[in-house]
Amino acid sequence: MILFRNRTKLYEEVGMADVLRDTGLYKDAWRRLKRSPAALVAMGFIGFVVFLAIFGPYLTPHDPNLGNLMVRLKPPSATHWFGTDQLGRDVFSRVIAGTRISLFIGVVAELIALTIGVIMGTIAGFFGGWVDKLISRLIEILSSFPFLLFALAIMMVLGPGIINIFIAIGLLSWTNVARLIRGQVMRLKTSEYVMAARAAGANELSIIFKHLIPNCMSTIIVILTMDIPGAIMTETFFSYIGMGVRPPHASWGKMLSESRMYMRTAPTYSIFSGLLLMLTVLAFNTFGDALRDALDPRLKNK
Amino acid sequence: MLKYAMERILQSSLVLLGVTLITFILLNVVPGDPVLIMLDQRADQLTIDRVRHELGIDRPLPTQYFEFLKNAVRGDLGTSFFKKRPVTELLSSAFGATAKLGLMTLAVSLCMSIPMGILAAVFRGSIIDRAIMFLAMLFMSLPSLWLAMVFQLIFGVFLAALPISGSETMRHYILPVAILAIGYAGGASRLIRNNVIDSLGHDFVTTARSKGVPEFFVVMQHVLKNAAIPIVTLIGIQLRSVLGGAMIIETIFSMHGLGRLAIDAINTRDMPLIQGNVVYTATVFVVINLVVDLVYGLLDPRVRLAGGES
Repeated sequence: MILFRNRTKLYEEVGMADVLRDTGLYKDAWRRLKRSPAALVAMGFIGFVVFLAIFGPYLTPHDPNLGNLMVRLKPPSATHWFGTDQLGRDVFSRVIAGTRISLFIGVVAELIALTIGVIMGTIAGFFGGWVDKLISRLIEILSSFPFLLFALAIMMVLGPGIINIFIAIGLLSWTNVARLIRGQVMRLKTSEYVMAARAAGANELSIIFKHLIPNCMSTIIVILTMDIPGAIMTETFFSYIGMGVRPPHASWGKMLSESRMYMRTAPTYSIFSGLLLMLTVLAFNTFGDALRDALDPRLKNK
Repeated sequence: MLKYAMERILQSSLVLLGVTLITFILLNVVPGDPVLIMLDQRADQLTIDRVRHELGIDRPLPTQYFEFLKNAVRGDLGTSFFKKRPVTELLSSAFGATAKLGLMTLAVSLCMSIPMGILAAVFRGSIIDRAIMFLAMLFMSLPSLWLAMVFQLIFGVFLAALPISGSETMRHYILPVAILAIGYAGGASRLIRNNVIDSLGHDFVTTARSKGVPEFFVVMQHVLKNAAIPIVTLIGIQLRSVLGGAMIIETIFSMHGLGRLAIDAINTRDMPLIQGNVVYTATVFVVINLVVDLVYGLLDPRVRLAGGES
């Protein structure tokens, strides 16, 4: 009956409570993550950006979309910390307001890509055979397209706007996820616990959802963190081409590309509008890196 | 080996066929009639029909697609709607600037990332390693659009030391190459560090050390040789991406490369030019992949015996 007793109590009874600890994947990962100060700083910064994205619109000192033509392209001052833009709008307020849109694009577009990628990767890895051949070929075709050119072509079909940016990025960036998940599912499929589940009479759907996908979860979380900055940067590119969010709304990419025309007259405008973008991308990259080491050391070097 | 090669070539051709088909379908559902953009808004129906006939876009879509394929195999990608010149000619004239930009970027990024990666690996865990890895992460995180603007401000406007637009002289290439190389060097130095660390753990390193070989030569002769294979793969990947053209950098610095050609083509709905650009880039991609796979097949029997499962 010893097997069914509470494990923590059991450890205490055998006098090894301080050596053996009841632990799980995520607890372990958190312990490893805490050791890296860079990861903690990055996590704090991401938390700050998320906070700005949620509460930003209530915190801006000025209305981000309301301009005053009397104070166009001014350098930083006490009232306008980051200066003003070509319509006399407060750059500081617009950077904060843009956080919501830029972060939203990054997260939602990546979630779409992730969903498609996990479904396709699981189907290909689990069923194998001609389904796998078909999906693998599709992945190969999609990844031989020049990404930005193809994304631009999709945006032309759909027209500018935030929803279409989600679709364009989502439709194109799932291939990487699918490839990783496919490999992992192929490996997990032959593991003992899947065989045990099969022997116990579990059907294929329940094996996929109860065993395979939960076991890929750490990979999925790492990919999500690592790919969000890419999606945020792609938004910058769309805005630069004029396919981004519609005016008067602010996004980091849009401000950056607008500021380019006033580079000589208002250099601080260009510099400040890209600063938060750069720091956010840096934070996501640093955090994703540490998260990968903490959650899934096997993914290292990939 | 021959069977493996044939199989890979067949697969690559299928991929290219898929690329052309998807591009063709996509371009034909793009709203915005190129004829209406070309002609004045007041053009009468007769003129519109005549121009459509001249461009050959009044024929049924499957006919157009097979016509395109037939010509593409012969090396003819059609004629640009706007520039009235063969697409292959436009692509090859833009290729010069892109190739120059790309190869210089590759060279500079390797000159940065190889020393960075080796230094970080040899001194791993130390402050040098941490500083280099932070720098690499920073390089990866700098948005090229922003970096281009900051560099233009500093070197072009404030210092007035370097030209910020055009691609006429070598001096015009300094800023764009620097910006692109910084981006590539970030990821590359991390990869090189990991590979050098892996090879440092091998027995032959211990043997060399125990023979009394100075550490410098251990790294230079034994470790680097073994870390070289992944670095070659990395060069392949970077080559593939630099030869596709850098859309943002080429546009910002007004260079006449493939990336800028692609953006111009998209803005004017120049279908044959977009199609040609995609086909060109995808071909570069697929051919480099094919070459890399075949070389691996030659080097490693396990790859070719597995029947091309990647």
